Amino acid sequence: MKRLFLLMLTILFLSCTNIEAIEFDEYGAIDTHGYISQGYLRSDKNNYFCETEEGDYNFYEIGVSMTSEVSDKLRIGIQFLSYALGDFGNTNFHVNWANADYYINDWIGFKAGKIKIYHGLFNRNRDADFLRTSILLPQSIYNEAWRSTISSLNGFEAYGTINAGLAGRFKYNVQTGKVDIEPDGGVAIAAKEKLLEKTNTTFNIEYIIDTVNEEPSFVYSLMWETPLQGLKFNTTYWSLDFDMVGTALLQSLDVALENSIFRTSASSITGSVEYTLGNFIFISEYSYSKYDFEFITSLVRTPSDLETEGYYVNGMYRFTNWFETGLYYSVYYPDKNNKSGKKDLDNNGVRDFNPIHSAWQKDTCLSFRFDLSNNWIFKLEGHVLEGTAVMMKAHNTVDYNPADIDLNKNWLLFGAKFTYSF
Amino acid sequence: MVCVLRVIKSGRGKILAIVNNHLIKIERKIMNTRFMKFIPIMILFFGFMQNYALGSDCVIICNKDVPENSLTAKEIKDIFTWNKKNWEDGSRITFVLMRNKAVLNAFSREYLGKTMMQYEMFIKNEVFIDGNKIPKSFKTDEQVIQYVSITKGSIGFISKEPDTWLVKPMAIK
Repeated sequence: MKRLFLLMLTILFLSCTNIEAIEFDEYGAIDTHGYISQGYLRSDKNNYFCETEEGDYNFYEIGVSMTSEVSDKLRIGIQFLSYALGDFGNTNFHVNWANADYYINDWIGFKAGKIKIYHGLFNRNRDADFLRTSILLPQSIYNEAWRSTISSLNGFEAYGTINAGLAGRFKYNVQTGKVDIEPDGGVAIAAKEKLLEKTNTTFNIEYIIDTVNEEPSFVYSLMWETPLQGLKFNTTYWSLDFDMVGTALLQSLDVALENSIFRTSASSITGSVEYTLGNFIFISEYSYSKYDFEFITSLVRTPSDLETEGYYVNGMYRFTNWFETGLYYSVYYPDKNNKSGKKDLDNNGVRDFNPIHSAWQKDTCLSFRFDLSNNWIFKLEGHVLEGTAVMMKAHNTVDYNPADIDLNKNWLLFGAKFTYSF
Repeated sequence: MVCVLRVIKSGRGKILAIVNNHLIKIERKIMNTRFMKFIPIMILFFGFMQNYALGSDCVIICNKDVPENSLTAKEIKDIFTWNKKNWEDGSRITFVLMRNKAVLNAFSREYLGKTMMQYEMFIKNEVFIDGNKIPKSFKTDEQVIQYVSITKGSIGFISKEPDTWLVKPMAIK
């Protein structure tokens, strides 16, 4: 399958020296577009989702989309994607989105199939690197660990545009369906680390995930394009419930508990503002998420909850047709009620956050984007980071010993990326 | 403070000369810095920027069978951003673009409130994420006129008033 797509991509690549895409006219014809993106990440300390301390090339995206207008009202499309960021991602070509879109009128239309999820301003296009200035999106809102999970859902969407005269225009989207959570994906690993944080002091648990059962999710998005040219506000909300089913090894008691369930109920609301003034674009987003966890075994039933908070401000300026720069400052707290990380978990004196600077992450990022041609883009960016809240402990251990975590408070990250799109 | 003022007053000429001398030295130092060597590059750079901002007027044209004879600026924006997909009589709108950068830049700034690059990014976003069909684009006025003249429900923009009856210039309300 992968070879077939690579062959197809090569043919497309060779046949697309100067054209924008392969296209045929009129109804039933197929538009084909694609992109290939190869990145490099290197950090002075800490491993950012992959082996960045050594410098890591395992950071790429390859996407091919095909769309066809069946009639005035009906459009169908599919996008295949293969991507990686270290251990995360799906290196096999998989369906990123595939849906039938039936447009009734400006007020209402429907989509059915695999649909991209609304989360903030950039979740739907985060796989297409060439649609933004920076290489990495602000992690306070667009956590890489959650990327595959909140990328798309299998279900339905209703959408529409309401012209409000002098008040501008409102665009709405309502989605429902099931998301895919892989047992070895970012969300499962993050949830597992949270579980171990909450329970390990008592039981010294090792948890092996067998399956993940997802409940239907609900998503909405409302955008207000104000009468002031270039100013828009957006809000998105999603809810997600899933059970990880696996075996809990209570090492302190030398007991294995099969069919143990780690239940997660998550919801997130994000508010965004974007203002475009000539070549300058300002964007700011704030996100609040709430998680209710419950660890259920035949011996114990441990509930817990968590509230996270993240925000960023971002300014971008395009100097010329070929050069754009962007600067953002992003802040993330994995526990909004414990921003300093000093609040104790319990009377044992064991802290929620170990190390303490994993209670926050502050990221200042400067990006340069060079549009070498209509098809080629090159990007460079540098991050100055304080804190390690977004980092995976699994990627930052000494000699792969989970008990020996090696995370540094202040660190730097450098990224470079080439993208070809057609 | 009074003493200082007296000194300044009495020796104002000397002080001014000393200050002037210092300023000249500082000025020379600045002129010799690496920063100054970059000024020609910066002038070229911002000159390029200026060039980018330049544009020319454009004229909206449509197929002769289109029922509307005039459109508001907002309606033009809606058409070229896929927010208005049908004409008054329910027929489908097909919009086409001009590849000439000056004309495309002028059009996108005047009617869409975006720079040319922002508009191109917007189109790519619509194509890759929402599955919209990429609009046809042409290099010259003549090519746009030719396509619009034979394509029912089509609309486009060119650099000057068309000198042909094959297409209909669209009045702006």
